[in-house]
Amino acid sequence: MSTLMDIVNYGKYAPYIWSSYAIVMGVIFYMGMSSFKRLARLQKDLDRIKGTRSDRSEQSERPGRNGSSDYSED
Amino acid sequence: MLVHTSLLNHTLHHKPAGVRSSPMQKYANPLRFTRLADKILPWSSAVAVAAFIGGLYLALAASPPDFQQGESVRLMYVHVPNAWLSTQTYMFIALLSAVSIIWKHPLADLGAKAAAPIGLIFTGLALITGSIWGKPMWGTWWVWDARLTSVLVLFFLYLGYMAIWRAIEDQQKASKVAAILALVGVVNIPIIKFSVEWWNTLHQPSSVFRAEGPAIDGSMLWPLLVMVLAFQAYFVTVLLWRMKAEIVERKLLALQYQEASE
Amino acid sequence: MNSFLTILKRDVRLAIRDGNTGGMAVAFFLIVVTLFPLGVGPELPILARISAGVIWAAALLSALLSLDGLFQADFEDGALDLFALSDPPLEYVVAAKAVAHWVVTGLPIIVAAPFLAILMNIPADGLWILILSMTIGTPGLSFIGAIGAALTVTLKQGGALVPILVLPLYIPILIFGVSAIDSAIFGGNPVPSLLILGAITLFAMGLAPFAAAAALRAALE
Repeated sequence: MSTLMDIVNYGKYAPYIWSSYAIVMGVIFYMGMSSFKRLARLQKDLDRIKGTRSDRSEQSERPGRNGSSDYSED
Repeated sequence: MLVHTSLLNHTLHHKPAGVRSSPMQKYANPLRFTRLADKILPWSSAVAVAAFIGGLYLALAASPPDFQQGESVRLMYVHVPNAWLSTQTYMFIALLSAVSIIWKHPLADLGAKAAAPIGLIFTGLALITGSIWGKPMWGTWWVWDARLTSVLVLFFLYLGYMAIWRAIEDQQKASKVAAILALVGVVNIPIIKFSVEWWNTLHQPSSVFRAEGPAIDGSMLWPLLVMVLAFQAYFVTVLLWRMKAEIVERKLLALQYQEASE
Repeated sequence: MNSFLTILKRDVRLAIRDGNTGGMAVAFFLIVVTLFPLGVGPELPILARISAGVIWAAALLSALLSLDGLFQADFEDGALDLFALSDPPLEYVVAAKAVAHWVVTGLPIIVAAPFLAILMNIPADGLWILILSMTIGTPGLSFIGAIGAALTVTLKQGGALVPILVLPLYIPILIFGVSAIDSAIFGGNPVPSLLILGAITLFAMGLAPFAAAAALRAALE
């Protein structure tokens, strides 16, 4: 049964181990969060624009002419 | 305006009437892809979080220090997954680039573009952790060891690939040019690796410290595998987020363009 | 073959007319090499040790110098469109242009290299291998460079991008070019390095026209 001190203290390697884990987890977390936040922000913008558009006219949502049906919600 | 039209064309990719939809084209439809991504994402993100927690516990607490390398072996559990993923992500980008060139699959471009920053991050982290590992092992932050040097070159390849995407405004053109660059890069990677190894044996005939050690002990295998699983699941999760964001962004631009032209 | 020679001659002539010839490449080559004794110090043994690497690295940079214009002018004035429409395939045109690039930059570099090598105090054993390795390796530089030039042809400010794209791909040529010379100097066998260098150049000559032509087609769309 190891105490907390035993776990945290990796002999002379402690600074190297802790700094590399901190850097990696920090960068990974930042990358993940910024990707997720960007998606959420864009999605919100899209919902807002769609909302204003469907208020104005139901027709303009589906032009169909230029094949935008790929993106229309069905 | 020019940018918008081309974006629109790219975004509103559709199958010409009468073309049978092959399995390849099934997920070319962004809506279908988004649905699939939404099914995968809860699982991949849950696996990533769980595996990171488990992997960190195994790597930092539960695994014993190595017989030869002592506690420093813990640096491997965070360095090796990044090094593996850095190559794997480049291969992924090259594969998608081939798909994009051969089948003109629009999602392949999206996937390749979305994967590049993640791969760059993995490569950068592999270099940083390799360097931090090098300090206690070699007594210096950087050694021109064959493996580190190859990873450094891979980092430059990522930079060039991302720079092309940034430099060419017309996204459709950028996707083609970037795909060609990725394929040229992937063809060159084995040659670069071979030449760097040749160069290294020429200048350092004595065997340097090897990152993997002679053989991996069972007690070291588990933390490593769980960490690799965590990074893989993380890659899938962030890739899907970024691809979805890219789709939404193009949809937004197309809508704005429509609005402006009405 | 005829059209190949026509394009080759045309490009060489255009380069000469624009003053974009060996003179520039050689002057650049000379200046880059001169920086090293000034930076490292004038001790002859040190210079002899680094001579092969310095000369080869300077050669890579000199080859980069005129890559920008390889397709740019023809792209802007529409000549590239004509090339794409006309009979010989675009791959052919790319190969001819890469050879023309080698004639106006690679060849003068090869001629200048021995003189710079003497300035760098290269041991006599290495001198012939230097010329040989440059003759084998520099065509590879022009062909790989053609890929970078084609990828960036649509960009007005492609200047900084080309080195980032191309230099990593130049690394194998640098390594084997230098290792051939070093093994000749330090009592090894330069032949394996030269053979591998030749293989890399041939590989580049085979691959680059296709990659560059594909990039040009994407740009012309």
